[in-house]
Amino acid sequence: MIVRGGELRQDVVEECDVCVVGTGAGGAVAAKELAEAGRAVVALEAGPAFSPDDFTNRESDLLPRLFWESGFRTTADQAILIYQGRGVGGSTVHNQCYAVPTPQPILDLWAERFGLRTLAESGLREELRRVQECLGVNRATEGDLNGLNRVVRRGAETLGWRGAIQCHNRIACPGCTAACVLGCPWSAPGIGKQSMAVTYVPRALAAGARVYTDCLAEQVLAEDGRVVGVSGRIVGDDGRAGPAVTVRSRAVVLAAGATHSPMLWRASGLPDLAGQAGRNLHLHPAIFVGGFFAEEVCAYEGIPQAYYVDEFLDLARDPESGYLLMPIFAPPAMVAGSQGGMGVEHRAKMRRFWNMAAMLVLLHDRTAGEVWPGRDGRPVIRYRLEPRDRTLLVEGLLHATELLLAAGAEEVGVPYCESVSVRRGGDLGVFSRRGIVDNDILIAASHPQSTLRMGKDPRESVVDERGRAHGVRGLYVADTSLFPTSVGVPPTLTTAALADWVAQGLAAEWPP
Amino acid sequence: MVVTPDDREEPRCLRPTEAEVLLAVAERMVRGVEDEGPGVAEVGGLKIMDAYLATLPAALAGQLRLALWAVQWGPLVFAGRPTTFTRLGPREQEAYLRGWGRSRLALRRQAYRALRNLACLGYYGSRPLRASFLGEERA
Repeated sequence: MIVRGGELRQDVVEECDVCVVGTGAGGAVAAKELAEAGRAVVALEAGPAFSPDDFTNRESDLLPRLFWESGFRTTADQAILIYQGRGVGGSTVHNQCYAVPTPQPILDLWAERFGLRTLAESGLREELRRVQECLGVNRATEGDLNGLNRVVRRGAETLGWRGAIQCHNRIACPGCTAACVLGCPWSAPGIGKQSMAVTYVPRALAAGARVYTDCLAEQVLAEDGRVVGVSGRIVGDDGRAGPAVTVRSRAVVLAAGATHSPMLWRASGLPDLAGQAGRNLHLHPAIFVGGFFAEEVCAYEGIPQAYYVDEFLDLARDPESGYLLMPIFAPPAMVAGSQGGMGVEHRAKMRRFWNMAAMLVLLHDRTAGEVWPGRDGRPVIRYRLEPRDRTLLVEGLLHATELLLAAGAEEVGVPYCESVSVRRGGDLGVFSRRGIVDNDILIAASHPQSTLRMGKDPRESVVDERGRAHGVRGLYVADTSLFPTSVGVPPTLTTAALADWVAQGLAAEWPP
Repeated sequence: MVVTPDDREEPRCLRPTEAEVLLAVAERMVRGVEDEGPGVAEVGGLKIMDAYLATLPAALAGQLRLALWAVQWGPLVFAGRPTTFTRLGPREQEAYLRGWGRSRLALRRQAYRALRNLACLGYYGSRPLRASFLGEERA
């Protein structure tokens, strides 16, 4: 049953076995697995439940509804835009559906550095299998490659760079466009984007879970060294506080994402033996490059992301650094926001909307930031790119530029405050000389992670290998906060598989 | 491009002077001085920007308001001109805003970026512009 917070008129007290905070890639999986294991589950979701009619594809409608802080959340220095989803299904409602299993070198690194040997030995194979089945993961086909993805592949093949058509969690997209980034209007079980909202959440509900929407968790309640529940409050679209929702439970699973889970941890005064809660934030920061072609690319039509280039991410050789080159596109207002310059040159670029091919460089970052609760309840996100990561981003920018030129672009631009571009045969050094300067170039991130990291040693980690909090009984984490390091690849499957792992462990050892 | 009267409602969140500054900033950000075609106000861009501002947390909306104030009174501080932004001519406004984007002060670049993003949302998020790109049915 979904209880829409806006319909509540008085305070609510719930009793259950497990309270799950968040219904995204981790929370939805935890809720479903625990409910199907026979546990009484109540999930609290800060955002709304969407219906297909809500996905109008209009930026002005959906940025405020789909994203925390209306898509305007940034790091404290405003250098990096951070897109984080809110609502039933979390970021899986707006993400672009790359379905990439956890790379074994990453699991091996986690075993070596953080003692997570069981995960490395199992490879999360069983959990990944279950998750991929439930999400309908399948490999995109040749026919799924739209004009943009073909451009990227053409450029990569011309340069001899490694890339491949990827797996995704979409089924029989009836009319995909780049508006996918604002939710899929066709999304239903077995059709369109298979977000958590149409896969795991319905199964959790069918198994008896209750989901409260528009309910912001405010505090994890603990007594005598164990959790006893969660207190929250209904918050309306206008930001006004409504009735209180108190959930009394024997276990709590934090899955509110890598900014909100640690915020909740800190705001609740939970034990933090290692002093690591909210620290070690990685973001997968991304920079953008746009190519303009003589012919129409029609990047807006079709599946926006089905292929990517991993020539520069060799995790077997170096599991801690590298970057992916990916196609990216969006509706007009978002494309406009990602162009450099202003005025006449900006308008001229937008007039070539259908001749555009855009790419992003997704960095497997080493930079570690931190998240603190701000005075107004918003997260304070401190993250400043280290020189090494800046160098890699510049390298990625140059490679993406080379790729687009190799694919036939007449001109390639980068979204600095000023319009800076290179024509075929021009000097790419204009980008390397300008570099990555905060608030000069657009940098965005939608994969915050690692802020409540797993590890064997309580002196270095916040939760153990089964996601159990060190020092608090009954408290678990099941979202990207768990990752001990940046995972380096699109994180949906890893998040879901780890949530499955945590939930199965909790179900097996019940009561906690 | 089809523009209807509904697109030009008055703002509810922005104060009149803020709306005036934002409109002028948006015009310069997304259109050339000699650009033909409807302006930001004509396509209802101000209404969109105003409605979007109303959805932001108070602190963020406050930062954007401060940015507008700084832009409006900035000619005195940054360009040595005893006047306001809205009193500058279009070409002077454009040159002045470009200066914000090139500034060595991170705060000015932050303001430039934030206002430009807002302008892009207002203009390219409007029904007439979306229709011109995507067709009426998908607008």
